[in-house]
Amino acid sequence: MSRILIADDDRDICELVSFKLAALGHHVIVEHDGEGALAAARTESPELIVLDWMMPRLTGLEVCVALQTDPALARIPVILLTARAQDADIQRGFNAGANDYIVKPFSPRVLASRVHAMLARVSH
Amino acid sequence: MTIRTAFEIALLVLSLTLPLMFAALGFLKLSREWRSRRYDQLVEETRPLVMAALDAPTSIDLSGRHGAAAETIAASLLPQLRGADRDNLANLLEQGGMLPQARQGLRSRRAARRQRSAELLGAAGNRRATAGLAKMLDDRDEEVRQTAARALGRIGDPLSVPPLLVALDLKRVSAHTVSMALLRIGSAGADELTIALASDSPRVRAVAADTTGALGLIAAVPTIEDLLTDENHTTRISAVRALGRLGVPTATPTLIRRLQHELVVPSLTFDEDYARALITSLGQIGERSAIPVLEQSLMRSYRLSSAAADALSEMGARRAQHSNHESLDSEDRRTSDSVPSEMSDETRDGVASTVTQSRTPQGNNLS
Repeated sequence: MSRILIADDDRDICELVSFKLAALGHHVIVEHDGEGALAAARTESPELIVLDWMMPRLTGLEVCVALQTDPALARIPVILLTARAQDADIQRGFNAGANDYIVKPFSPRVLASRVHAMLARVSH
Repeated sequence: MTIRTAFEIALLVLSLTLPLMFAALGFLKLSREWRSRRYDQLVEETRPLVMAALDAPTSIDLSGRHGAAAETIAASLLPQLRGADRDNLANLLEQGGMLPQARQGLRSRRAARRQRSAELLGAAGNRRATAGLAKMLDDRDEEVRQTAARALGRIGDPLSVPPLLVALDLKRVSAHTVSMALLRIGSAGADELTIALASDSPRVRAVAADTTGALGLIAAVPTIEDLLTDENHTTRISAVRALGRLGVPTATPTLIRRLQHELVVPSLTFDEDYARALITSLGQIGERSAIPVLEQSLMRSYRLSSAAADALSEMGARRAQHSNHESLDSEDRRTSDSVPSEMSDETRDGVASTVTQSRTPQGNNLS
């Protein structure tokens, strides 16, 4: 079982993703804005973060950059889950430190598989 | 009764009525807030049921008091999902009676209800709604028509291509919305789009050309080539753009001929946008036979020369990529080396200089 932080201002998406990941046995922490996500990353020590881009207070990209600049958090893998699908956006996402990028509309089952694969990679 | 007495009675009635009115308004406000809170609570209660139903659609009944809340959640979730979960959610709404209700809602007298129904049916990809939504393209409300067109695009049924093109021709729906819908329908609508290239309507021909190009429908190239001399300016440019996107080398001689013709026509009839589109498309296709006419274009206006420089540069960059050259470290070197080697030294320097100028703020001021 892994601790996974999900940050998205859309409550339905949060509920769906956390339902899918909880069903796989993960412990899920949910936040609805960037500041909350950053604070939870510091206090809850998640093993992976699923991050929306467009969020109030801090954007997902700003959270990514903040995570990268904090040595204690820089190693936490981040999956960006966003509706921004342009090549330039995807490049910006990876440049900000994201380890994977999923474009909405998305398949929750595929997201769960990617989470699983990333956790397996990190644990080795 | 004197006037004074009547005034006093009116004042008394008013003083008694006003507090009652305020009390009634306050009650209404409180009752609305209470209903809204109750509904939010119901949505919170229903959300886990909807999520659980995604994995086991037949095990949970979402009709009854949870129905409206489930519809709210589904309408928010459906556009963000794809794959099995989206299909399960749509099945759930069908079984729960929400989609049948939405199909009826397309005939509602209230525009807001018609629009909401169209949105839900589109998000659910409900093919049973295609005919109803196609009729809505002629709705009296513009927002409803736009929503119906978007919904048809999301559903992706090729049967909706002809009604979308009719709505475009009659200006019932914007060209942008129809284009996006046609793109979502994709190559399933290829036959109808190819027929539309020969439509009597210039709006339809232009959108059909743009869409066939964006979808990569190579079989349509000969018909698109015929549109290069179309009487309509927008259609001509759409055809050129489509050929560039398709990137078919066989279109190069025709594009070269059109550009050569444009470069020699008298200035009054010269169409700079068209010539620019031709240059860009020749660059996208990247055939060497286009180099001489692109070199000729370097001597024309700033807009044409910068487009030609970009086209030549793009051709060179692509060739460099093919040759697996090492990545280059300086802007100047990248600029001069990305120009095709078939060009004379003079032209190579000219292109490099034009590209550099067009990439700098000073260069942008030259226009």
